[in-house]
Amino acid sequence: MLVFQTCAAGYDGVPVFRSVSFSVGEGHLYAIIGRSGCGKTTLLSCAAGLHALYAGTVSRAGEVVHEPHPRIGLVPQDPGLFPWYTVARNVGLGLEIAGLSRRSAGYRQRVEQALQSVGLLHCAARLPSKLSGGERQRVSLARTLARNPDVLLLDEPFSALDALTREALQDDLVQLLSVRRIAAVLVTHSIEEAVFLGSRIAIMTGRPATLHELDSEPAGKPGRWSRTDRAYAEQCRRVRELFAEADHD
Amino acid sequence: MTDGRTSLLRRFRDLAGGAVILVAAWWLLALILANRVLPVPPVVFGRLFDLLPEPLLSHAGASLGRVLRAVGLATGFAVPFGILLGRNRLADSLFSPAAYLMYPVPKIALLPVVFLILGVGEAARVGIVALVLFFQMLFVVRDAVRAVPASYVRILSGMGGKPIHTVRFVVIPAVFPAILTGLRIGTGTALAVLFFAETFFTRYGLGFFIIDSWSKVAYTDMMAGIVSLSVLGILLFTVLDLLESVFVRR
Repeated sequence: MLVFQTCAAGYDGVPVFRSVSFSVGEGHLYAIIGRSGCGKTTLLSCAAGLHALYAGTVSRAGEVVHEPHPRIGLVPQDPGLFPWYTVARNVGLGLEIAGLSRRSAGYRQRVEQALQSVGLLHCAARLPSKLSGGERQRVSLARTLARNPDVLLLDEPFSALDALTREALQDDLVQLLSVRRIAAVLVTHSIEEAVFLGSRIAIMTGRPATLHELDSEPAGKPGRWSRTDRAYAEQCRRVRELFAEADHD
Repeated sequence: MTDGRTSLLRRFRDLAGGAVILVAAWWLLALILANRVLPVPPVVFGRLFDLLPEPLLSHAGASLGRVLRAVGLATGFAVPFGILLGRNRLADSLFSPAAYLMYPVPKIALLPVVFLILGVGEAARVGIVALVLFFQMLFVVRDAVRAVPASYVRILSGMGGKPIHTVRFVVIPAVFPAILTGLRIGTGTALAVLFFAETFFTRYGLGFFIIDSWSKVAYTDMMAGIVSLSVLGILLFTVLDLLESVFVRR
């Protein structure tokens, strides 16, 4: 479980967001919608232990996060694959940093499992330049999964992809969260994505930004909607209206 | 067949084509001038084989040894120093202006100073070539380090990477092509400087052989020396291309 308690952070003493409190449990995804520059990425950086908070705490399994934690994985918007390494080496980088030898059976097994879970085991020996945009983002996800995280921080990971690839990756993510019992926080511009994936949805607005949860209903499972359902379209419309109201305030 | 091998074969084909055109142009010019200063290619190549293995191989070996030692010396200093300038703003602001001022200074003009400081032995000849290569590589490496996307460093940090991991997994792989580029740019100039440096206080090296043949009015030998020096340059370029095709993956 990941818990934010009255968090505030910013740059050069100027807060970007304040009073952010929420929690997300295993198998659930907390979706945050916000405009560009509202502090979404900074919020995830704090949870990843890459940016210091001005106030409050982020804790994982009861332990305050001060620095990058091996069980907290960050998936950035830009896959950021290193072009000089093969797909397999990219996926195993976190393991190498953790001190695992590339020759060890454990290393090979975890890399293979991670690639298998995103359906790209056959691409292990390829260079990132030979992959499509969707495949690169899958490799980025596999790189995070190889470290066996129980918290995933997703920073608009699908925003640069075409609609069909995005939907396929959203479906994959739903599976992964459910099977691996991962707690996830997703920041996105897309209301449709937030509704489809989010157990809960919040919007981030204002300067400094604050978080407004849009739903008072019990948290649902990610991917509980069918994209063709009228109820899903209705939920998107409702969230869009609430977003407009909160953004206007 | 990999893209790297295909491009390497293409490069060899291009080189062979270029060599044919050059020799043809040389032959034509020699026929037009009809002057013993410029013998026709078959005469020069015939003499070249007469001079092999000795004394030409000893001269070529001496020149190659100096170039390789200079490359090692320049790389050993320019790469860590370039990484430091690219990664550390304070070091960059302290040293880059001075290095920038030194960059356009023709290093060959420093040859007398180098001879006076290092003596008239091998150290001076290697040192002056290393000096040329050092400045060529320093800025290429520094700029390559600066061009490393900040997102790469953030991704590594997110995985618990420390600065040493950034250097190992990001900076060195990102800088390697730049090192080869710096060497490629510097090799031509380095050979020119070596040629000049070999005309003083030595009896070995292709520079000495060419100037010595010239002074003895042995123009065919002189041309054979020039061809050998050109072959040495092409060999160095080809080795750099090979290294790039094997180790640089994009």
